[in-house]
Amino acid sequence: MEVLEENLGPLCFFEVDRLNKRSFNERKKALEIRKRANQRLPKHKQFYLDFPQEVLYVEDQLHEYLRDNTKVKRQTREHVVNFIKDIRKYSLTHAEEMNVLDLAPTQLVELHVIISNCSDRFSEEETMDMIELVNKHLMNEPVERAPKPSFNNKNKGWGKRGGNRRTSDRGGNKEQREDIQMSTANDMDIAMQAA
Amino acid sequence: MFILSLVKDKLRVDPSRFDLNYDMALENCIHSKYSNKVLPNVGFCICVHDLTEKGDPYIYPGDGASYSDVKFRLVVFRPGIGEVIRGKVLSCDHRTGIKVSLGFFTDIYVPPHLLPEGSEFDDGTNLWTWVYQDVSYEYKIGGSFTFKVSNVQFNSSYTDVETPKVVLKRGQALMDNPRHNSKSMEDTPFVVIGRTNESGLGMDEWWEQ
Repeated sequence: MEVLEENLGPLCFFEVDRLNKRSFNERKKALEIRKRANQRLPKHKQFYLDFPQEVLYVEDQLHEYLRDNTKVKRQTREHVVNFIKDIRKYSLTHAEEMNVLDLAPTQLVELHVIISNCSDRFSEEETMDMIELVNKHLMNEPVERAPKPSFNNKNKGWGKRGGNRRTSDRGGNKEQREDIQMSTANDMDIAMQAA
Repeated sequence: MFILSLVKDKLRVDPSRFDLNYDMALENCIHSKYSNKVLPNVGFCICVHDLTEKGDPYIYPGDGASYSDVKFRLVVFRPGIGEVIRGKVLSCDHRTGIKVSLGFFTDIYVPPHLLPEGSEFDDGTNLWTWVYQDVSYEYKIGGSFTFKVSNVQFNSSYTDVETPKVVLKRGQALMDNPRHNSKSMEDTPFVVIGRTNESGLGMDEWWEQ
């Protein structure tokens, strides 16, 4: 076991929330598939329905923290990308940008805490403009959750050898699965753009 | 607050899990090994982000499980110094100051010397209060609390000179009630020390307009 690189790059709350949602959905899907498979099998041949307890606990707590204490539910990917593009015109350090994105300050006091020497570096108009950007991009109405991918029991041939055939798209969920795969590829873009 | 870390490890997939999609089996193995635990000098591991390289699975004699060299990226909780974080107050103590929790991570302390000037500890109610211009502001347990990270400590309880390359220690016991946790700050492997001696920090309700 070896840590090859300690810090590849930061992740904003929005990305972590997306990752959380995605792994929750994947786990739910896997559980459903196994439950249905188990219904057809004799008891001694049934699959395990289990996931490591630690990750369930941590991810559940993380989900609660992100949903209740941060403003992640008001953001979508476009909002975050547009916000980063707009805030780039001010010369904030990378850490300050991430912090503003995560905390989404709506009051001057909060912004002054995040940005050091705020009154020296920026005029009052510029700080008010930054707060307006936050309000415009990061403080929209809470986004409704995308409908969770429902398991469509049209997979042919998955009962023969048993287990998941997640890699093959024999079921009717091709669109939804593509959606998930697309989103995972794009999620890393946010971190790379911000870096 | 979260970073990505690249880790390489040899993962063991038990034969009872061979029916699973191989990616999922590897991820489960990583989660049971790294989730909710502290990687020294890296941070508090949460979950896996993705698998970058998967080696071929080998089966060694005497053991039916498959072993494969995998490189993967972990989502790790590691607040940077100077970062402003919002959490909830867990408890107040005369010596250790205020303990803050983020739900998934509760080893955050704001020691008394980093509280704003004029903070006093009331022995009767066992709470800290901040007295500023003759108005006393209370710290409420369970209230929303903003602080700035001043330091991040990795404590090792190993006294041997030769330690293995990377050592995993339990960061937080599962389902542990944090208020009854009697571990001191030196025993916990990963401690975040915050400060609130700036205007705008402290309980959020003080600064609401």
